[in-house]
Amino acid sequence: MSNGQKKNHGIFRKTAAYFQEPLAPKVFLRRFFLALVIFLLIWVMLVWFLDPYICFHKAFFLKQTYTNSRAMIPGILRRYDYDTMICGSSMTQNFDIGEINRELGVNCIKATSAGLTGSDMDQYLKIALNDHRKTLKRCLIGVDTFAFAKNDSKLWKAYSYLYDESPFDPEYFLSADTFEAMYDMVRLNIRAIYHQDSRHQLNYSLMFGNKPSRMKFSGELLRKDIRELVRKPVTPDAASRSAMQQQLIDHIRNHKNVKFDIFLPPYSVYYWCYLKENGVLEDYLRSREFLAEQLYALPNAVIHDFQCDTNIILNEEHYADVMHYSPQVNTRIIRGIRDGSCRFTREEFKERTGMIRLLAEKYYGTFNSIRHKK
Amino acid sequence: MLFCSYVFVLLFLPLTAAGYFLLNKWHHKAGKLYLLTASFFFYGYFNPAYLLLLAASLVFNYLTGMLLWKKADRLLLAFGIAVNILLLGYCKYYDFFVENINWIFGTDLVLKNLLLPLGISFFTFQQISYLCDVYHRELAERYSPLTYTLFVTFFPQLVAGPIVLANEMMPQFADERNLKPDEHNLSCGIFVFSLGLAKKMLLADNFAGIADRTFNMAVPMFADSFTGTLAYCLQIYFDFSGYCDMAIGIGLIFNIKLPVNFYAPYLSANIQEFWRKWHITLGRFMSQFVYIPLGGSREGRVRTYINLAVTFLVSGLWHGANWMMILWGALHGTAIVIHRIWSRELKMKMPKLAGTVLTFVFVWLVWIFFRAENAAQAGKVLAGFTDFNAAGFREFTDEYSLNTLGLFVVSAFIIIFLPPANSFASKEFQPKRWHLTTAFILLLSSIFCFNRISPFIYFNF
Repeated sequence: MSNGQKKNHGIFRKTAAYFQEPLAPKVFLRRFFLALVIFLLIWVMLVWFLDPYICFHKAFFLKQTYTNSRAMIPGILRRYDYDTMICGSSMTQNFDIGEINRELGVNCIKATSAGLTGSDMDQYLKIALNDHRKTLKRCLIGVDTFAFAKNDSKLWKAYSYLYDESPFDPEYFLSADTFEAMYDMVRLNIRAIYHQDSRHQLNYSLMFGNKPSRMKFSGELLRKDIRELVRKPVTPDAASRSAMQQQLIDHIRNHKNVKFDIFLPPYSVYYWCYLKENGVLEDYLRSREFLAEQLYALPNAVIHDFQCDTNIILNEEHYADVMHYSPQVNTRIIRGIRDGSCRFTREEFKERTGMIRLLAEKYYGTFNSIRHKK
Repeated sequence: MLFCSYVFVLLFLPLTAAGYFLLNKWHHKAGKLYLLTASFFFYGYFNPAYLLLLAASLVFNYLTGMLLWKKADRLLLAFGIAVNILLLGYCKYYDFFVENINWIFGTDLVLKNLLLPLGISFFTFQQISYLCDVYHRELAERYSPLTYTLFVTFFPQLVAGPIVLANEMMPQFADERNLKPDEHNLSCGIFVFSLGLAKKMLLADNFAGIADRTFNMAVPMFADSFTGTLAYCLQIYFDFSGYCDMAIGIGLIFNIKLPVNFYAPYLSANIQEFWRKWHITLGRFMSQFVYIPLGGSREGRVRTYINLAVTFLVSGLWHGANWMMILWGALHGTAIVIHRIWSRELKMKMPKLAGTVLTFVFVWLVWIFFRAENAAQAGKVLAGFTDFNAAGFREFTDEYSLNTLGLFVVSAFIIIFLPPANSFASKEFQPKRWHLTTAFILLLSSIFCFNRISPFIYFNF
């Protein structure tokens, strides 16, 4: 055995002997509780200091990193300055905040989550409308009517503690999730030191720009998605209309000083065919009409309908799948909201609902041929 | 309240232990009353409505016990047991019974959709054991209502066992030496609790995701079925044995020694040995209150086999009111009978390693019926074992990383090479530095995973 090996062997033996050393039960208990208390105190202070989910303060010392939109939205909505918010599901995640600010002349914040449910929207609106009641002037909301038929998501349940008023949540201070967020914060800050545009390294654009659109968009991808569609669409039923009332419409009714631009996203025409295939198209159209009926009665709400914009919904190249569209479409939506080009009278809106039915009928054959093509 | 929750570890347990020992200094009844209140709070935290049923059951059984003290009347004992079984049957099996009646006779009887009170299977069995102990005069003295209520409701074992017997628990609650904090028991309890908590949080809950994925798949392939079912086999072991280790650890903090419920079951060389090491207290109860009253092994060979099979059917039914559980119990009963014929009638032997592997594979595959919600799901998962599809394998390797493999390897190492956690819960336990470091690291790592928990599997029974 070489000297080096002997030395290593000695270290292992010494370490093993150290850990094998007996302790009196009293000493065991004293050291255990002391170590626990000291660790917890230091850890709680560290979490408060770094505060990766902006629960207590905007970032200081280190720059804010944006790694988990679902967990950060409550903090962003509470602590950032803005006069406009955009809220919605993955259909709205591609909006670039810079573009919205330029086109609409506002200072916008983004509260969008993939798979957004009615409860999520309700919570986002509650926080923004309460915490920024003096400054919030406008809300842009992308509405998927089926979102109100969804159960609370697992993610929402995991982060529900961030939405309440309680400042000291053990789920925040003592969780592996926060630990990972803190680790990412430090790691990304170190990476950002060497870059001129450090915002990119801090994942700023993941939250505020259209970076989530790492998706690719093409007719080929859309057709592939149509062939592979297996899950059943969530059906908006009577209960979901009641949820829509509580989780969206009541907020609009109760905040007359805020202007609500509700836009209906332009899914590809094949999405409507897909609903038809599952026998739920009429449920969707009923739910769409219900939303319109409520909104047309409210003076502070405007409805922008992009769902029959054939320039978009018939162009397969705009889509990654039957629902998700490219950032060019987001630009058209923003301009449409700016110009009011997709605002319609109640009667026109009704006609457009009928038009969806006709489009679904007309393209159903094409949808079927794509779907069953091997 | 779950053992693996912030409120339990950071507030309830420290406050209950501290309050109990402080009040014991003043008056031992005050301490007991405090522990009793804490146990009721613990139970009512899940659903306060359960408390009424628990209280009614306690009053009935204590009063029946008092009458049995006066006169060991066989009829009264039978009445007491019958009421307990009826209560359990009504809460747990009513809908199952009605569903089957509707199915067989085409009737349309209404289901009650009763919410199963938590731990009812456990506290009912404990109280039956109490009545029998009183009847057979196996308790040294007549215990106060306070001690009796504590025996049933002592929070570490209230909702998911171990199933304790009156004659092993009540003397401990009555023993005045147990009223003062014991540093040895405290350090031992903290260590065993940390091990149990880590089993649940760091192992069982990670396996849960893998198992759920397979059982929820439309068409599982070989890799999915193999991994998912193995994951469930490990999940249920770490989940339930982790819970029992935590219960034993907490019991020790209060100077109460709870019986061991698991002792390296997956290393058993045959199915009989497995059942001596898996859910030991249920096996003990079934043997004492089902197998032996049926005649045990005293009434001939064939009758013994029938008794064994019936005992396992009852055990399956105890686990849940559905046919899958009954099938699971029947399969284990069949295996036990085959093993008995093999070893006692044919006097054949198998090499220990081969026996261990065979037993493990049998137990692993039979868990599929325990986990599956219905026969179709079980069939689907079993069919997956025969589907060797390259695309499915690629999808599987995309889904899982080396971490998953690491999880299986670590678990195998723990099962094969490390002593069972509850083996530390003994008088010989001498705290060492590695115990301190391990307890500290495991406790903190587990606390950091509390926001990802899934409920204990045995809470359903």
